Amino acid sequence: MIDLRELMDERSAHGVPVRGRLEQVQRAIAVRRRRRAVAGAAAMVAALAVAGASTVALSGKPTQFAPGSATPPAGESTVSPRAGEPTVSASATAKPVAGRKIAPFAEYSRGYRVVAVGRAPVSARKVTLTWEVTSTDVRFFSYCPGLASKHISLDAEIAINGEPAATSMNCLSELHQDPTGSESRLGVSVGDTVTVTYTVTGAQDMTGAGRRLPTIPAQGTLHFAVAEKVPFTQYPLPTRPARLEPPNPDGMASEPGTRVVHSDRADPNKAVSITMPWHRGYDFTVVPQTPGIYGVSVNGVTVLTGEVYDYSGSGPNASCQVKRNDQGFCLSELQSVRDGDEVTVTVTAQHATGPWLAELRSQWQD
Amino acid sequence: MASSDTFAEFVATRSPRLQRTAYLLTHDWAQAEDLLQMALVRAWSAWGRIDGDPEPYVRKVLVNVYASWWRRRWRHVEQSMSRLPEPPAIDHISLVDRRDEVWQALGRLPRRQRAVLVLRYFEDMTEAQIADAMSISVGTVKSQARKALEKLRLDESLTLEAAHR
Repeated sequence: MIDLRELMDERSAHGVPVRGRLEQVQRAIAVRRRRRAVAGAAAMVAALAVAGASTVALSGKPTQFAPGSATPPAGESTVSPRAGEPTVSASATAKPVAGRKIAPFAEYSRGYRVVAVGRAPVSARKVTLTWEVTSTDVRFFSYCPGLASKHISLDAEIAINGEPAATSMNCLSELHQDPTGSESRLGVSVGDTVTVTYTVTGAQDMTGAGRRLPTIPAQGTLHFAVAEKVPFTQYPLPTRPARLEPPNPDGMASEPGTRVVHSDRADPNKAVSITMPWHRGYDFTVVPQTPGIYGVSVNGVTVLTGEVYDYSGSGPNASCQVKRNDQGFCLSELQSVRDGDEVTVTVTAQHATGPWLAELRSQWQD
Repeated sequence: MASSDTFAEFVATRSPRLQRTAYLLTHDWAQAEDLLQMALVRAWSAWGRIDGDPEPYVRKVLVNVYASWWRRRWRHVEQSMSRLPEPPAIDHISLVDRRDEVWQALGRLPRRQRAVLVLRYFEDMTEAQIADAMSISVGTVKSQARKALEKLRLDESLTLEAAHR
């Protein structure tokens, strides 16, 4: 018989001791404050950045990597990493193709495109890349195959043009290329030529209770990548499966207070609205069959928007619980809505090529 | 409570435990760290208003942030739940394999169900406490736990007994 508590205790015991967590949190708080202070200006800059990114990508301007497989194309040399000599691949790129790899990284993943990659032996501890910014929405990925154990985690810091950024990373021997969760803003602008330095600062052994290693391992290879957000219309979507299942509601659909709405049969990109009584917040989930940009608004205020890049049936979700002294999760535009008010909830889709459903609820309970 | 000193102390002393909770929710150390950091940042904005021990509040923020994250992973894996094989006869599989199978199945649970189990078994919270932390009713806690355990194909009574001994 499996003891669930024992199992959870055992599996979570392999914690990752994080050095400087408080400093990271304090940096994030500072960034959040600054972001709120300049929210209006930032929105304008972001809009301009997207426009700029579109122009550059459409023009086919050379980027900093060699598209294709892990093997560079003809005309580009393969450089074996040597200690202290990080390498960077660079060549022109052609039109977007789904599924391509740039060294170990997927060229396109979840809305982001790898625009620069580099590698170095772990013993070199550092990879430096230079790229020309075409979107200010940037993510970094790292991957360290060849470490002595899958339980080894390397701590790394990021510097932009020599200045430490509020971003720290961990490098593992397993490849993770998930842009979710990063909130870093790098202070770069479209058109800038930026140098980013990935520096390994320590190492941990995550087995057992976890321990900091006295020295950084010498074996293994650092792979580091810079990725930029790609406008949805320029993102290479995977081939549409010959057969697609209809959108499948999850457990939320059967919970009290949840309304399930379906897309228009003739036009999945037609907005669908319902009215429902407001009670202390919302929980909205869109379940799409196809890629597209999906959104939900309440009384015209957008509360959820998400881009879907595959046919997995995965969609965006947002929730907000309005409680006294706990307004941080919700949009200020909705604070005037009172419990019991009828609100109009509208689900929108763009570029959808198949049906979707949305699970909508505004019934938080005490 | 409104002090950067108490916040710093909290981060230093309570983070390891909260990080484990975050890992049980996300099944990914990197995401767990992101989740915890996000929860701590949000908690800081309310630090001055927290009465008493802030850990329940931070844990509540953690669970709610987790619940509101982009749910690509949750749905994707949820759909594969039906492919979880029937447990083979006990003499054909080691307990280690079975534990790993349950661990993998935990990772495929819908986020709410997983959160209920984590709070119930790892945090040892009562149903009422879970209901408060997740802002759902006690009845929903019970139903979510039951559904989750059914999916894990565990014997609920024995598991509960083990959890509360």
